[in-house]
Amino acid sequence: MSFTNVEQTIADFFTQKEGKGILGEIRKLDFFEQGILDSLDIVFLATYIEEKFGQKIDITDDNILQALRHFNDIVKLVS
Amino acid sequence: MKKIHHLALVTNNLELTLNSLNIKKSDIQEVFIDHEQKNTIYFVYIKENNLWLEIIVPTNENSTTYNFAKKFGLGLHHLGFTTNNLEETEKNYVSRPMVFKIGNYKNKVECFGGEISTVFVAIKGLILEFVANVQKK
Repeated sequence: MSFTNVEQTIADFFTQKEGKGILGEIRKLDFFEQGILDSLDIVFLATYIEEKFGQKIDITDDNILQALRHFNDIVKLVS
Repeated sequence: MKKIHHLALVTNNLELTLNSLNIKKSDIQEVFIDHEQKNTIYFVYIKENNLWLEIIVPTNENSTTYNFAKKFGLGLHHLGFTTNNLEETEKNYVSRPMVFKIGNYKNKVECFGGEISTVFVAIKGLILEFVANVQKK
């Protein structure tokens, strides 16, 4: 699977957490439903996004929170 | 650093928590059922340290502390501080790098003096709560 630079950076967060096995299906997963991201992980993901992209996201905003469910939406959020 | 007003533990086993800290059930000064965050909170005043202990037990899977309790069983969840100006404190913290607001809440906790307003922020794995309208013990 090939990734753009932004996608690779986001994918790295999930591979560090779940292992490389996640990469094959990362675009299809609902991270909340699958239990991959819980409330603590959301804070860590927001911190990671700020560290890597210099972008602070508002995790109390429901639209942003919902965007964190799917890989492609996270990529759009930081692009 | 400001004085810590309270420490909050999250547990899925109240008995174990009380026993571990040598706290008797009769030491619990208030039990607050937080319907919004889906938690039951037991308040204990630790006079030796002049601070409150909140023992938080999630009431169901939708609780704000459910995942924490599931992950750790028992753990330190947050540090609580008082503030005279919640809005200013929130603005100040959220403007800092790596600080994320988790939420604002209003509750009625008698042992904190009645109606209180709070904001929770997270800095990586550390959660801070700032509480306004607290009456000093």
